[in-house]
Amino acid sequence: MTDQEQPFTSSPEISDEDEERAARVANRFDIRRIIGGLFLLYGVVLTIVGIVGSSHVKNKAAGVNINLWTGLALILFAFFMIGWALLRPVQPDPPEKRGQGSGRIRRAPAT
Amino acid sequence: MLRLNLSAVDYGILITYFVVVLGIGFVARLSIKTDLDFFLSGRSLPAWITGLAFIAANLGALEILGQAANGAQYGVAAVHYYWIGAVPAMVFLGIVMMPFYYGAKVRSVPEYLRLRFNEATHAFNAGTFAVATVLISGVNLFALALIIHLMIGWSIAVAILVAAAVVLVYITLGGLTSAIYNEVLQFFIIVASLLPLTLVALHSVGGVDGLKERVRNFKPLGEPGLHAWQGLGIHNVSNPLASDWVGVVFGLGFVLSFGYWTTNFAEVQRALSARNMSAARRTPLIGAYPKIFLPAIIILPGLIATVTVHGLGGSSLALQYNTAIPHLIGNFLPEGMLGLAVTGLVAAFMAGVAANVTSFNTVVTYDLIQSYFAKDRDTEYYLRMGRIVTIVGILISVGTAFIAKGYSNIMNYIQTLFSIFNAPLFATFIIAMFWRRATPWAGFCSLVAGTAAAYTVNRLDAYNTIFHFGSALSASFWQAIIAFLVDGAVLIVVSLFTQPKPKEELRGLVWGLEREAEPEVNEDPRDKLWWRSPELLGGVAIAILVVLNIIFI
Repeated sequence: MTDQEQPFTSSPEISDEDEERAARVANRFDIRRIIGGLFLLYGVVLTIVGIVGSSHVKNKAAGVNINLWTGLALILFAFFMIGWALLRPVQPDPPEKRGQGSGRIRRAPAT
Repeated sequence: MLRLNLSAVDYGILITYFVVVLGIGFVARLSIKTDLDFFLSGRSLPAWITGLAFIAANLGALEILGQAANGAQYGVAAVHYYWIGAVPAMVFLGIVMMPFYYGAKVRSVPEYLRLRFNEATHAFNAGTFAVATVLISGVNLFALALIIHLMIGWSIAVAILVAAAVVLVYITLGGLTSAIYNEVLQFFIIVASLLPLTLVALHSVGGVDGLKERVRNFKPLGEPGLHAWQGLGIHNVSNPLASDWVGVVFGLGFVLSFGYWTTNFAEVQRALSARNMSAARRTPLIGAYPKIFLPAIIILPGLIATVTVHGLGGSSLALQYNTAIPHLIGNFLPEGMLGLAVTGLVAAFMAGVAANVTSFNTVVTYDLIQSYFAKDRDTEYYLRMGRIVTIVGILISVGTAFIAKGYSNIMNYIQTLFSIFNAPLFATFIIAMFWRRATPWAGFCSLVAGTAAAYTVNRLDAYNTIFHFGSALSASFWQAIIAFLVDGAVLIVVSLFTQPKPKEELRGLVWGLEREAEPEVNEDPRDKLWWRSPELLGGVAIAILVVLNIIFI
């Protein structure tokens, strides 16, 4: 092994337990659920504005009730994102695969 | 009038977004234990997230407003920025270059240069990248502040400070993970607001046929405004771009685009944060698909604005081409959608700044501080340093925001910056990766010479002494080509007179010198599925591109 191929981390004391904990926390917040939740909220709000809004609000977009249609589309998209997240949850890597990857970087050789 | 009246519902939508963005920052903070978590998300993200972030990092406010401005000013020909000027380079990055970057386990683009050449090349590249990034980040800040000022009426100073403060908080807390998650979120909000806007605007001008008719009868665009490739003949330029096909294909398509997409660390960083080699290679390829179709919701509304907004392209601040999309928002969107659209623009701006800031803090911390000033400290030190550099970077961006003020078309300013800082880089990289004889000092000389050449041409053009290009756009294409040629020539000539690196040190860094096989990190058996093949993903993207170019010829 040459110097170039030595494993390197800027903090040698990071243990596998630290990495496991980091993986668990990272898995707890799934961007698909965040997007789904936010878009569900936006979709419901736009749909309501599309239903109860004044005729000016309903017709401003060249006669199209744009709030209603966009709201419904956002709700559909939110269901897709949340459904995807529930059907295929993020699984932490099994322990035997971990260790080589995250946090262990090869250092550039002195030139 | 550009001034919009936001209702309580609109403000509610905007404020909800700020809360979610900050929330992501706070949760992401929990997952950060090491400097690598902060700067590269611990190399743990799946390809669809890094792929969307790859696109969203580039989809800042200045991209949206600037490209819509190009659509308004140049017509359909502005699609060259996407189809010629982005997608081929993204496919090349995923298929050819990513194995070098990800396989060498470098943490930044300058670090590749250190392994391949020497510390002088590394330091020069890291330094110029840091300067360019802060300037560009300032452009994003200014673009947003201006739009908020025109649309909502906040003062420019307040707009800059509020938005900069939000970015500051979520990046300082959650690092790259925070930035990438917010980029993905922002991507969907942009599409959710621009797609309905475009459909409604198109409906109002009588659909596609109605729009074509209006553009044909519209001066100064007329029929050429509907074609991407007509009127690009050498010495026979009648295209609104005022450039011939050599400028478009080699300047924009080859030098500028490959320079930006394959060597700009703000982009490459997204791929480096992917969980394994397969995901890293698929990052730019997955990003290529939305990129192909983005002109439909960015350039198309710009073109619609040019025929519907009376006086667009005038000299007053509220009628600059950059305001094409804000004008459409004001004309068509009622309360509710209005809030979503304003949120989309604000989100785009913040993502643009965040992309610059996350790449800036990584390069400054790893490539300048760790490499030359504070070697071998513990991870807490670099983590803390990363957070401090983040704060400093945002403060400098606020300062540079006002440099952008002098340019009427923001996209031209940004292209000028890229043609100085990015264009020469690509020549050095492409030769470095394919020619093992390229020597360390040749790498350094080529970068210095290329940057100097780009700057010289830029200044000569600015003072109109020697070069006369048809438009600022055409000038940036040619400036890039000259920089590229000078850079490449210097690299080859100096290499012939200096000592190359021994072969063993170049393993895994140069084409044809394979590294000894290592076990794949985070291997996933499902990456072997046929539809995850990088070659297939890239090939299909190129095929779609060819078809679209024929349709819009």
